[in-house]
Amino acid sequence: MQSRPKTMRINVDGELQKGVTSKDIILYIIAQISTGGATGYFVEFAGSAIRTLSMEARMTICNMSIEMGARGGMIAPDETTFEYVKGREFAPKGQDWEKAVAEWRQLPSDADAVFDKELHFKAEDIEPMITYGTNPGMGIGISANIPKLENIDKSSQNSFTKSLQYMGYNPDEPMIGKKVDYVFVGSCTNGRIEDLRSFAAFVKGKQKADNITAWIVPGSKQVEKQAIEEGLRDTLEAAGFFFRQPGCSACLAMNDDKIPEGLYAVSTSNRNFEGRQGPGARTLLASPLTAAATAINGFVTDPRTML
Amino acid sequence: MPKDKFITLESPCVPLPIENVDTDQIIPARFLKATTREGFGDNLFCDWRYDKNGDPKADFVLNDPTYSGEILVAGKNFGSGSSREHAAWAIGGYGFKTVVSSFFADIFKNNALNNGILPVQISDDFLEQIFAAVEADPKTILKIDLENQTISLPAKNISEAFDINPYKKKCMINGYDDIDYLFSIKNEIEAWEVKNSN
Repeated sequence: MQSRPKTMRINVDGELQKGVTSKDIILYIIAQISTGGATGYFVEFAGSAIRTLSMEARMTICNMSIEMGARGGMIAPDETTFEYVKGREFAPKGQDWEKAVAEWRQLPSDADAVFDKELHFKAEDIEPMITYGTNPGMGIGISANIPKLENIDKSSQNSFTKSLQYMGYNPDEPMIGKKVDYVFVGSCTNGRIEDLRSFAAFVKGKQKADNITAWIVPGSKQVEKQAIEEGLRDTLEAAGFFFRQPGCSACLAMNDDKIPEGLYAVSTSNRNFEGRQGPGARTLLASPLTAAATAINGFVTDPRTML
Repeated sequence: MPKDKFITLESPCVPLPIENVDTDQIIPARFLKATTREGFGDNLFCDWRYDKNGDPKADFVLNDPTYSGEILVAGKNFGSGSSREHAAWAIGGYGFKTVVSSFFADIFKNNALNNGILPVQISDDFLEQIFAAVEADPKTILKIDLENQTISLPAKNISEAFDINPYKKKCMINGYDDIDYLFSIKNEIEAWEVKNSN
C-alpha cells in the first residue's frame, strides 16, 4: 500500500544555450539538489525552458527524476504532447480523440496550486553537463573542474575521495580532454529516435576517433526500424559507429555489452554507479551531443566547440 | 510472504560508513536474472566483497570477523538508484534484520519494509556516535525497540526516537505482509460489505 508522496515543482525558465539539451537540464538539477534532493516527493517540471522542449526531450527529464530520489516526474500536457500522441498506434481516434484531448486539457496544475516545495533554476546557467564521480549528483558543467575537496561537505568528503579513487581522477582537474575508451548512446534515458537523430546529425560527414569503441543502441525495436528507414544507421556506420541490438545494452551490463574494468565510457544512460556498466567500469554521464563530440575527438569534448 | 515478528532487536552491528550506497552496490544488475528471491545474500555488496577471482577481499567489513550482527549501519542516502526489490532481498538474505542510516532512498525503504527489514532513520549526530562507538568496540550492542520507536546505544546510555509509518509498524510487529494484513481484518471487511450491500 502506498502513501501519497509530497509535491514539488521545479521551474526552469529562460532560454537554453545552443548545444544544451534536456539531459543537461536534468543532470544540472540533480547536481544542484543531490541524489536525495527529491526523496519523498513527486516532481512536476515547469517553466518556459521546459515548455519549449520536444516530447522526447521531456521524457529524458522525467525519466531521471528517480536519480534525485523522487517517486516520479511529470510535465503538464500541452499542444506538444497532443501532437506527439495523435495518430499513434494506441491513441484514441476520431471523436474519442477530441474527448480525450478535452480531458487532458484539465490536467495541468491550477495557476494558484501550492506545492510542498518549489525550486527555480535559470536555463541560461546550464552548460553541457558531465559527471566525474559515481552517482548522478556528481555532475559539473563540462568547462568546470572537478570540485576541490575543501568545497565538499565535511561529512561527504570520504565518499567523494572514494569515488574519485574509483574513477582515477583527482580533485580540481578539468574534465575536458579526459581520456575516453567507449561511447554508449542508448537506454531508456536517451535511446529515442530524436536522440539518434541528433547524434547522427552531429557525426554526419565526420569520423569516429580510432581509440573509441562506440555503441549506438536504439531503445526499442520500433526506434531501430525508424532509424534504419530514416537512413540513420547508414550515416552512423559511415562515420565508424556500431549500431547494435535494441534494449538496455551497456546501461547496466546484463548482456555482453560491458565496459571492461578500468576503462572510461561516456554514456547517455542514467546511472554512473561503481560497476554499473561492468565490474570496474568508469562511467561519465552526458547528453547525446556531448557523447557525439567525444566520439569524434576521442576525449571529453564540449559539443559547443563543434557546432 | 509471512515474516518473523519484529518487536525488539539487540545485536552488535556491521558498520559501513559510506554515503550514497546505491542498489548497484547492494546487488549488481548482472544478478537480477534470477527468478526466485533465494540466494541473493551471497552476492550482497558483491563487487566490494569479492575480488575478480571470487575470493573475499580482506579489507571489506563483511569479510572482517571482528564485525557481526543483524544490524547494518550505513552512511547517508542508503539504497539510492534502481528500485530493484532484489536489494532488500540481498540484505535480508544475508541475515540483516535492520538497516540504520541518517537518510534512506524512498523506494528502498518501502522495499525493505515489505520484506520484513526495518529501516531506522536517525540523525547524522547519532549515526556518528554509533560509528565512533563501534570503532572503539566492535562488539558494541545496538538496541532497537519498534513498539516504542527508539534506538539506543546502551553502553553510552544514549537513545533516539525514530519514525515509522503506523501501518508499516503494525505489519512489522505482527509479521504481516499487505495480504496478511487484509486477512487480519477479514471480519471487519465482511461486516462492512454486509452493512453496505444494500
